[in-house]
Amino acid sequence: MQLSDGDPARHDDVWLRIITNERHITKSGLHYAALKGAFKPPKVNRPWSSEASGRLRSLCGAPEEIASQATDYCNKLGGGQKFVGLMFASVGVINDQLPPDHSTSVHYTPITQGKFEDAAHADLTVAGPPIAAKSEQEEDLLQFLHGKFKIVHPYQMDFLPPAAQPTLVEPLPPEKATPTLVGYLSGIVRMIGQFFSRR
Amino acid sequence: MTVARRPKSDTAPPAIAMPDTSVDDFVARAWYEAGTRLRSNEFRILCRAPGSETTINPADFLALLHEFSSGIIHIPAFSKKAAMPIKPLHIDQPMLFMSAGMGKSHLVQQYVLELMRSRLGALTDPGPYVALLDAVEETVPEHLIGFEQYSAPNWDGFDAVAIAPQTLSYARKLMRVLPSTLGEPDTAPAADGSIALQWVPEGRKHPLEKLFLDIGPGEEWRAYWTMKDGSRGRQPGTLVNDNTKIILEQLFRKLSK
Repeated sequence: MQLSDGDPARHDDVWLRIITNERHITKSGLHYAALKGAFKPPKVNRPWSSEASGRLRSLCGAPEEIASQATDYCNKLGGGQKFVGLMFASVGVINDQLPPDHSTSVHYTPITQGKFEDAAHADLTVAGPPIAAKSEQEEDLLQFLHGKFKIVHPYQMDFLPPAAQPTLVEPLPPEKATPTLVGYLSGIVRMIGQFFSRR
Repeated sequence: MTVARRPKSDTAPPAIAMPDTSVDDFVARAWYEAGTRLRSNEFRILCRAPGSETTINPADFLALLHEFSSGIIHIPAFSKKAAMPIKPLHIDQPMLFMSAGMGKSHLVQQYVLELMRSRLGALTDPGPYVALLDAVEETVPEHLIGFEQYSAPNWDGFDAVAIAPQTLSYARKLMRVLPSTLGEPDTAPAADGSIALQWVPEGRKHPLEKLFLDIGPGEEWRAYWTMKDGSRGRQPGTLVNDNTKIILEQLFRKLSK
């Protein structure tokens, strides 16, 4: 199914964000400073209160292309920023509840024009009341998100996990996704049928 | 660091070769150094109340604040008539304290010579000025070296807020009283204009999962943490003084048990 602007990303996709500061990568992984101040209110009306820019793994090509695009992005910035790594997490891991009244997820938000046009653009979004700077909610959000992310250096791009292609795989409705004995048996029968039909 | 220029003759007043750095940066360092020495009673503050020159100690300091709070520090060796207004004074704020009545170049010379004497044992030779600045540089916490580059907005390419000199100066003060109980923090700039310190202790046996400490924006700090048992806590603060050191030592000890 083709994603449209504002759609939630698939659970099995991966959200990633360019890191431009070496200090945001530590020996133990991501520095929480990479998240602090990264969330901004959406520029257009959205069902979430803040967002941080990133991309969907399924839409941005092979690892070497991602690295090349990240370098291009930094060059376009023109401020001497360098591509020093990527932070990433599975959308399924990001989709979560932050009690008492916030939730985090990823939404597809392509940038369709301008210098930073990006068909793979997606935001990490926070739904719920706006979170004030220096508030306890902000602290909770940072601690909540910090453990979800992994990082890769530019020379480690092959470690980026793959993502399902959203145009190729239809998500199953929840009731059909529940494994049952009948489901297993019909699956086996279908596989056997496909095996013999190819021969 | 640029190489200092020596004076043309030995009898000339000590020339002060200024480093290739901003006025703000130099003055911030100078103020910090002077404040540190004041608090430890090492630094002899020269001030000229009308008709007198005296040495003051911290106890007398507050009484004299208002009298000099409107003065201007001129640093003529910085070209282009660089001038820095003395900011509103506070006992916890490191500062170089001078009267407007004193010769302007003399002010800087006295300060530099005083620093030289205490640091290097040199009283009259301005040659070691580069070494002096190196010595001052050593007192800047290693973790914050280079943070001046984040003083322009959008330093990250994602519309980051600039880290203000006030926040950086405050961070330098705070980092000097940080306990070493949890080891060295990972220090990084954050896009909201704050400076972020992070501790993630290695080893499964350590009770602390992670400790974050925000410095700024402005002159405040907040520590918040998660323990391995899932419990969480927070501790905010503003002033940086001896009490802050005790508070942080107690906190770090608690998080290590």
